[in-house]
Amino acid sequence: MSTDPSQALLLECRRSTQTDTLFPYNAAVVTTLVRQIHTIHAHLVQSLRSAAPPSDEVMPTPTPPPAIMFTSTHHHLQIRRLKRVLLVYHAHRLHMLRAMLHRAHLSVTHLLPTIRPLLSPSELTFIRSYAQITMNYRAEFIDVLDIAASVDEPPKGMWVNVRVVKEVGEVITEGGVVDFRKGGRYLVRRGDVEMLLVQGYLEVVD
Amino acid sequence: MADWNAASGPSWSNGQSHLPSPSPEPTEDTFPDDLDNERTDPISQLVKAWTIERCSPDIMAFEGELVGKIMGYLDAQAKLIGVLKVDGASEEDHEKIGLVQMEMDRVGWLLRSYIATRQEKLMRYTSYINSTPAIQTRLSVAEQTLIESYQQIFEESLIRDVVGNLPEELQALDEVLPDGRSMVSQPDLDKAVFIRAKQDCGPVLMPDGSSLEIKKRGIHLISYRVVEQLVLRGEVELA
Repeated sequence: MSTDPSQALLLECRRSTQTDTLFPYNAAVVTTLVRQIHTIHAHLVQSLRSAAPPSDEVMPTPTPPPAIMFTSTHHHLQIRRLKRVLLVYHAHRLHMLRAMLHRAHLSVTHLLPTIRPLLSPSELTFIRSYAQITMNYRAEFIDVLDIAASVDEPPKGMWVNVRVVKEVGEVITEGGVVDFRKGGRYLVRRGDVEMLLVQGYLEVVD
Repeated sequence: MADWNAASGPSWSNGQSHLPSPSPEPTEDTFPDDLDNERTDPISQLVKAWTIERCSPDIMAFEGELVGKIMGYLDAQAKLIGVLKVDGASEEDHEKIGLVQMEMDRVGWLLRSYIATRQEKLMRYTSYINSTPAIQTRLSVAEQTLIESYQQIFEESLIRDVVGNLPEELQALDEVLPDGRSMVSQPDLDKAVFIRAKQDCGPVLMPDGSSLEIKKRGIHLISYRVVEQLVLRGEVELA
């Protein structure tokens, strides 16, 4: 196990991809890395300053001495790597959030309660605004087609066998009123119950 | 209604397995295909647009007219069914309505999948698209609005959590490193794709300098960049 904190973030991204889970926002490590960047950056600035000749003198050589070159390149690469790790971590989380929202059929109110403790404040803002802009985009099609519906599997048939997991009560469908009682099984049109399936009231029985 | 049902057929019922069977040297007329009498009805075209969009690593031009036609079709069918249902249809009519509804579900799914595939690419390459006018022309107006706002909220979030806390000269989000790597992700045009030639295309120049003759009905696994122009001209199809 590496003690490098940036490695921990990368590992987290990897695990999160493999298990398809969103982990809690790792504020502690992110802060550590940002501090590290600041420290290294300060070193870098200092070493460059010490190498630069006083401004009233004419520069004797166009390149600084090798020792300074080496140190500053090293610092520079370190900073670049840390910044990249931070961006990778955050971008990964935002992509993941996006995917989760689409799986929840763009319903941010349905998604948020479960994941809210995992998010940083700016991620919360992001997912809310994202829901808003995709809603605007969805409005382009909504009269005819709801693009929020799932595209994972092409429809195999019109009807779907469902079991009621949580009590729903009476629902008006195209074919008439259906009274969904807990534990009951019904054969209904997929389009009619799409939302209930997503919200976890019903589940598909094969 | 009847025309539409007849025309859509089973051509996309196996929509998930879109890899061609391996047959490196196809001979003339060994298997029936539709190269010579291509279907031109909107649903077949949508299937084609969807396949290309899913197989191509690049963002293709938005098929605005086609999407409009399909939307019009779905809308008309839905209204027709509404009328038929009110009129108290017979048993047989109910069955027919069921079939039409299923057809609509499927076409709707196809269209949603097409839109979702594009949306996924747009989100992944937002920053690249917004800085490349040539690609922007391939987007619909709604898509352009979408990714403009998306880039804004995406970068806002990164600025608040990361680069906003860094020293000033490290705050850029679109740096290009000296070795040519860029912070902005771009579509990987060198990705390998399966193609099937719809006509004789003549030799194409491979990256290593050799040339490859693409014959009608030939199936190749090839870098997208090499055949990009052929795909755009519709001389080969992605599969």
